Amino acid sequence: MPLADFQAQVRGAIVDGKVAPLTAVLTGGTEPLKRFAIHQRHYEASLVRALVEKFPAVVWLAGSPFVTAAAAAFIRLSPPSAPCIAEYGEGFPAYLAGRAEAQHLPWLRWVGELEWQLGHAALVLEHAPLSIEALAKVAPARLADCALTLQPGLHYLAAPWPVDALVKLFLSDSAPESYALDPEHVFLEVRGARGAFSMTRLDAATFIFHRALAQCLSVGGAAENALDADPAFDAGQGLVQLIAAGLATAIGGADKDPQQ
Amino acid sequence: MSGHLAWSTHEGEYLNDLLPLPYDQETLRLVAAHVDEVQQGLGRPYLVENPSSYIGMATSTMNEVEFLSELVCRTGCKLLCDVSNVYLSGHNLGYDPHVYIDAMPAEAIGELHLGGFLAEDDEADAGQQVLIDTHAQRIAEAAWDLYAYALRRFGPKPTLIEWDNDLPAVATLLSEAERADAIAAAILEPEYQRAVG
Repeated sequence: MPLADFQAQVRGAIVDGKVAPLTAVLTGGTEPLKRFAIHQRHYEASLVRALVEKFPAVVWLAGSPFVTAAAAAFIRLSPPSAPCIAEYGEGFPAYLAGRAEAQHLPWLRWVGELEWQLGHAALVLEHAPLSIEALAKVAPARLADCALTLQPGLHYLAAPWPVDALVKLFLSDSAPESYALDPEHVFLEVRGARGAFSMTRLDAATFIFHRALAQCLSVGGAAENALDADPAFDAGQGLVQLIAAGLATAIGGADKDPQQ
Repeated sequence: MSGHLAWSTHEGEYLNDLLPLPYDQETLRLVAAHVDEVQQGLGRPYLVENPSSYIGMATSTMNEVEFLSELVCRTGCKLLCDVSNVYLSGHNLGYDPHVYIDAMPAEAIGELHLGGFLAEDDEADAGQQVLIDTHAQRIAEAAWDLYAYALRRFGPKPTLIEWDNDLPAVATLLSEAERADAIAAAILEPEYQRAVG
């Protein structure tokens, strides 16, 4: 049997539970397929544990049995596509929210999305921030065409529920017996580094401005997007505040030339 | 730099495990090509480590140590002998770990590993036990004995104790390292004295 076919059979047995094709191939004990189950159990146990540990607030809110069962199903549908398991699970919040048992928890997806971002933001190292003086050296006529590089630990989440409040409750260790959560659009900036993180609510225009800059749009392009959301948005002031908060690390041409 | 004789990726999916290979000419050609590529990139020999095995392949045309020896011949790579894996795999697949150690190309051994394993009831063999590689407990007495046997065969080699799950107190880790040092000293010091005296 060609090696690639053998690997496809092993993959099918581990991910999909289709062990029959391996019956004639394996040796080990009198029932080798039961030995092979060691690998099947490892796949499920290690990945389910990774997902459950990555979304502790989701587990806190929705319960461990539900999240664990959903994780066990998710790993069959979406095996890891990268070697680092820390990067596994980005699609889990959306999958979780699509399950019938979660229909009464419409905010659950957004809690999961926020947790995913918090977990990733906290893993990075911040770079030296761009100074106001460096910004001032850019000719005003060229500023709109420049692009900024933002801190690597910045993430942006627009959610139809105030899920930052839920996550803060989870982190506070002082959760009330009951908590009323009403729909509310929130625009969150997550910033993290070296194991720590923060969540800041922004107004819609500032959120759009920052997110567009994070997506490498030019300053002018980002400002246009923000002005579409709020004609009163002050792009100059927004840019100064962003620099003052240490969110940018470099400024260059739209093609990310070195600082000029 | 080292890596296990195993695979974990298929068509863009990562299965988060060290999965077994059939030991035949096709696998040998493929693994040799990969080792060659890595060594070209590194500019130095790569160490290939024997895996912990629970199953074998009926389609294999050579045993593991024959495969590794041929890999050394073809690529000039080195071997990392995980002594605990030799013991565990021998127990699980029914071969003598001492014969395995005897058959390894001693000149290619660059490093030794030791790690804890767990005995569980073997669902594949009623009344028997299967050994699971966990790196979560003390090294078994039988693995220490095999370590001593390997040192006599291979001579002094850098040794790493793998304990990366359910970590104990540092004192426990240090005591395992001290035991490895003591075994090496007891075996290698007399040989050194004989050689220089």
